[in-house]
Amino acid sequence: MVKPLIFTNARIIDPSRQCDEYGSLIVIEGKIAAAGAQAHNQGRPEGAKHYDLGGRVVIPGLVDGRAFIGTADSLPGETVKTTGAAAAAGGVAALVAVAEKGGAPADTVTAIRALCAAGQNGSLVPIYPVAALTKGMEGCELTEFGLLRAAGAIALAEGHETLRNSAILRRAFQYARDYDLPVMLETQEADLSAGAVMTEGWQASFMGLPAAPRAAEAIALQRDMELARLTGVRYHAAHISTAPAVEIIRQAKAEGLAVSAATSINSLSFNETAIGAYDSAWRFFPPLRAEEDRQALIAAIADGVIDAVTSCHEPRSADAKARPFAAAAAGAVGLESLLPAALRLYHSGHISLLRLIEVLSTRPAQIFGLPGGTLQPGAAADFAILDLEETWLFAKDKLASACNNTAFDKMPFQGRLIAGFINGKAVYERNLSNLSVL
Amino acid sequence: MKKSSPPSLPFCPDLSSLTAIRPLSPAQITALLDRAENYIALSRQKNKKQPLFSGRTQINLFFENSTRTRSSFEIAGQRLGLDNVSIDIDHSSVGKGETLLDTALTLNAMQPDIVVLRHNCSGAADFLAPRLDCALINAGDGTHEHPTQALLDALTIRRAKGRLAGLNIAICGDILHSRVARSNLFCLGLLGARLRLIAPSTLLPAGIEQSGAEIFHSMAEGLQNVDVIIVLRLQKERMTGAFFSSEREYFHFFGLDAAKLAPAAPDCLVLHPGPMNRGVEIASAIADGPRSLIRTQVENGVAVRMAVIEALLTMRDYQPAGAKAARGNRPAGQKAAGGKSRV
Repeated sequence: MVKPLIFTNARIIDPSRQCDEYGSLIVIEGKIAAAGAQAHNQGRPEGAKHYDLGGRVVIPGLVDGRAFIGTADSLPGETVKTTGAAAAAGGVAALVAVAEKGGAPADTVTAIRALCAAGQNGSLVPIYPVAALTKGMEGCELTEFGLLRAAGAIALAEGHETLRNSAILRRAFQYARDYDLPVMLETQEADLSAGAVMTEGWQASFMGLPAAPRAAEAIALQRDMELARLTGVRYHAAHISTAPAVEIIRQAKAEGLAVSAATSINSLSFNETAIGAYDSAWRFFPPLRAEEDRQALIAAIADGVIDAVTSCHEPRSADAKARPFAAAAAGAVGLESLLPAALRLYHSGHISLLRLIEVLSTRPAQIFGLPGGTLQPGAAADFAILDLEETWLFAKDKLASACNNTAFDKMPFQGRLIAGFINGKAVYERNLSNLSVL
Repeated sequence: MKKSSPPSLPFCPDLSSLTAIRPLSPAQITALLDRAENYIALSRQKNKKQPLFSGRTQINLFFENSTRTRSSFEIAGQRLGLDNVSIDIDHSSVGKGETLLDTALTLNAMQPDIVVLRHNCSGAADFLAPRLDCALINAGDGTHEHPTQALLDALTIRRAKGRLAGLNIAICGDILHSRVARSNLFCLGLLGARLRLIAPSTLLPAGIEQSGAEIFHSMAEGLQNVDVIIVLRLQKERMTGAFFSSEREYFHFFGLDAAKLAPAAPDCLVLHPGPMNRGVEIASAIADGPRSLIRTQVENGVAVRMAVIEALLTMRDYQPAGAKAARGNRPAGQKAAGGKSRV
């Protein structure tokens, strides 16, 4: 039998109960027994291992709503195992894995079964696969939504693409609604953003880089909203990055559509000036935007329009990045930097800690119907302990991922993970024993 | 004429590589132009050689076709005494970019002193410069910059007009796809010229109004009282992307002919970076007419490139030993001993 755990002197953050209070956390048999001020009065379970957190913070483990695994430009050494280790080191307790075109497939029952098996057994952190919307992500024939769901797919997506053909997309939405699968799409209009590596504007112009207008995002998103209204699909905008897109989501929600939206930590952390002298570490798709877009995204998290913040983890080999900017692979690994980078928004006073953890954990768990995201008594004991104040430098050579294409190398962070638990078992710890009370 | 002794320190415009005009200061640009004046005189002598840098190696690495730019760099290097190797790589036959780094590092291992790079990716020069142990000159990267072209245009105008400050200079044509336009915009702007850009809206880059230039969509308005016109080459393959509808229509509205030149100042000069599409962006009567400086540009190109090569090599020679070691640049005179293999 596993020993019960008790963490006293903890600041308990549980967005599922709008709880931010000092108290204790008690874990018995892999489940939360109590969390919060009232747990303080419940005494200590017999034989419990006791940690005095000294005011440090307990949060539900993060639920990363979008991480790419098996990407085309990844290293062979980047496996489900290394991905799981990276997630654990980032305080992530559940990971929504999306496939991309050209990478490992996710359009057949066999592929989804294999991903599920690997994600449950071969990884420290459970990985939940998202199935492709169309076969081979070619945008023509629908995959077997019902069978894929039965095999373990939790949602449908089309990698980094959207569907050009609105008639096929409409039917896909209708069909997905019948099987109650959420559809998460990236919303960049394909022709306007073809070849684009920057946002249209003076910055892209003087650098001579191909760029797409911000309208490319609004156009694709607005079409999807109309189709969502037409079909009643559960629609999740996988990565909005511009101010106009925020307004489209705001309207759709006001109208009562079953719509949710996410953005990535990259879009929240950087604007288009980050790329400096063509540094491919900051090559992303969708590309980095203007500062006003970044500010609009932050405001939209605070006021509830944006539901989730993802790592948008995209492992790429150093070779795929060591190319001139436009020819380099897009994306950055993000599992290990998601939490500390997000904490910048808390320390800067833009977003409360409770709201921040809500978009990193509670809301994505609800959107994808996953366990976790809560410290309610009876829930699985998926939680993380962090020191909000510790300052440290992020270093690409210390990552658990095999690929180290981070955009945060050598950047200072305030706030650091001490331990991550899944089902009451530590999957990551760093000096936790220092807090142990004998 | 200058003797072939090492240049005095004041001519050292603090450049370790030349990838773009935008980060330069007016003083740096002026220093390069002043130096180039000397080399125009030198190039008109019978003996055109001033072997300041004999024994050094220059590699011209061209991933895009070029006749005039490449030969201009070759001649510039040879006149300064450098040994010259030119490598043409058909970029369509190699994988994107990755080969650029491999190729460059292979050549780097042969201990060149200067690499001249032309590549179809914007930012290729900025990408390579910190990865090489030698100086690098950008000879055109994608739609980013072509700095020596802007310098030679500035020199040509300055010699013809005696100044740049206060001149009205119009750049006409496909500004969107032109690295020459971008370099000229910064170079001429930094030197105090008043710039106008004339093009159909589809051939202007986004946010161009932030560049400080005046924007026109009509030649009649844009060419009023201009002192200099720089006509850009129109790439015919742009028609497929719906940037314009036909050469006929383009020439009608934007091709420079005698009628369109009429509102310009009486002593207005015409430049073109070449190669020209006669009858598309410029009429032959103008290109070969008395106002055209197109051949002079080519002559000045060699002089400007000599000045740039001299500036970069001098900078490296006078660098305190180890000052740039962190960037991977070796101190002067330690080539063989450095033993820094990066391949």
